[in-house]
Amino acid sequence: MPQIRLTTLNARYIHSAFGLRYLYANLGELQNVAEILEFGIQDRPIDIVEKLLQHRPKIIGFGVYIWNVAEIGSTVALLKQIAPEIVVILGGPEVSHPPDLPPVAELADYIVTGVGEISFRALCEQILNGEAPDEKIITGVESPLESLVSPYPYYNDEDVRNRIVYVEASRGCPFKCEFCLSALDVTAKPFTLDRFLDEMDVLYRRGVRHFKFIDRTFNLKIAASVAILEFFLERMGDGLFLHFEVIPDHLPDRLKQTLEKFPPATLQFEVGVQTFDPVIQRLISRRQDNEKTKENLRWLKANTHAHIHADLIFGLPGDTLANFAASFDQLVALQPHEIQLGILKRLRGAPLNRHNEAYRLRYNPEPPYNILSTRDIGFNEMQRINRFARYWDMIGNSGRFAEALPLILADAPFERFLRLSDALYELSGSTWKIALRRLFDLLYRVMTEFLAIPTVEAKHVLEADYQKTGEKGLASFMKTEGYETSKPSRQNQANKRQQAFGH
Amino acid sequence: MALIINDECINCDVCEPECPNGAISQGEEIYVIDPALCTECVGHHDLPQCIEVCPVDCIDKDPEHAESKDTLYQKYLKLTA
Repeated sequence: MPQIRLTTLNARYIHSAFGLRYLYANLGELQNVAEILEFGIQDRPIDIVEKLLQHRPKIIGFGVYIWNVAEIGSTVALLKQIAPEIVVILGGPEVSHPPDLPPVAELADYIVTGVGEISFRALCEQILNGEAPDEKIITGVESPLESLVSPYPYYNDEDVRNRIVYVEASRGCPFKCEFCLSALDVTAKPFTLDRFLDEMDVLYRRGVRHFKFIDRTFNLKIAASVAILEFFLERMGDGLFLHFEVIPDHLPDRLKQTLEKFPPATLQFEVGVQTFDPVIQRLISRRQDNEKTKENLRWLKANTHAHIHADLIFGLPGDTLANFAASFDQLVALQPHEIQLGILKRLRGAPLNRHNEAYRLRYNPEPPYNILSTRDIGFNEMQRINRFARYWDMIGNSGRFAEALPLILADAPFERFLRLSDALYELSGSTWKIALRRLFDLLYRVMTEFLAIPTVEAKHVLEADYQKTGEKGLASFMKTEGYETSKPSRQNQANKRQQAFGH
Repeated sequence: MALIINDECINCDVCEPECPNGAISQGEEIYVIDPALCTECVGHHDLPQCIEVCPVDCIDKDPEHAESKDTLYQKYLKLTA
């Protein structure tokens, strides 16, 4: 019968809670009376509470993150009504920066801030021994990485078969980019390489093929990066896929030579660019060599098979539509496979919050704490860029419009895609639930009427893209010489539903 | 010996604020240590703080500036006088 339940709500089923596995691994003898119970954010709080209460544990520890803080709030509120005697301990980035705490903190008995492996266990021991501490907020004690017990054995067989397995070769980040919580770390420290590779070998032999590295920056210490990559190169094939976060301005030759050896569909890089604007970079303490970044992104695209997923952030202090457009156009020119347009979010504890007053950074008070307006960007403009980002995912990042996209972007990617985005929203009234066939019809109309692309050319590229979708039947634009009507056919229920939703 | 930063430096700026002697600064390409100011942390700490925090292990002893522990301590006294 478990006395301690470790729980969290994952954003998607495919995710696994790495943090809980670290806590569990480091519980020592308390492991015998502890268990991990994971839920999803789509689960109903009342059902979650029912499961958590089975066998009445004494302690329930919640991992609180930006994606589940609201749902954990509802869950803990119910729990405290039904079984107020159960000790609720919160941990995780959403509760690590008091006094900046979410409402759920009020309901909790204890909060462990920062790293939890040592302090969560100590707190559980005290509570179970009847020596519960008086102070509610406990600062997590850091310990040398080599002293931590490995979490990897606690990925169970279902995780191995069906979920992304997260791994960590180093912890912390030496950079100080103010929008990121890792700015608070003094530096990055590696786990002992040999031990780490042994652990990876065990996971590999258990059948793990999708490894997601949570290292803030994989390509810091090149000798270690190369050793890890070579370890996986020796095991290439059989669906092996590696996912890394990298900085774009640090690709020494040794690393390049290793990356060239990876076959297609085996590597994905998350490359944070965020902005190319040097003034904003300075303002947010981001050190990035823009020229080297461009050179390296070009090199990666030309010489490796890595899937490159580059990030930009809109809404940083000092950002305007015009300088975001400049960053976007520069990044489009480097042709990463995907460009993720992130709208700035307020993270509790992030040093960026020092600019809130001067730049009038106004955020959504509810998660995900997205920015609503700044000194230089009005709410309407922010909404336009939100839609731009959403449509960009559907049209730019999806890979479904490979033929049409170059015509759409032409010589002014940002300006033209914004025009597309505004027009598409005007026509459809929504950024959600646009059925694929209808999207083709809408795009045909926007391309010809709003972007002055000749009908013959628009039809040609959209037809080529449409053939590859596997959709049955013809889209409306394919049935006409020029554009006539976008009315859905009788049979197309999806379109009908969508129109009802959109208007 | 004074310490020296080699070309594996990633310009992360972690070392600069840790130096008790103010010996580290951003150079033309990478960070640099002024050998006249570096005491290898003798007088301040047991271990050189920049080496402790450097995430890429790019800081070594500078063979061009060989100094004994005693010399470094004398340097420390002069710098803090």
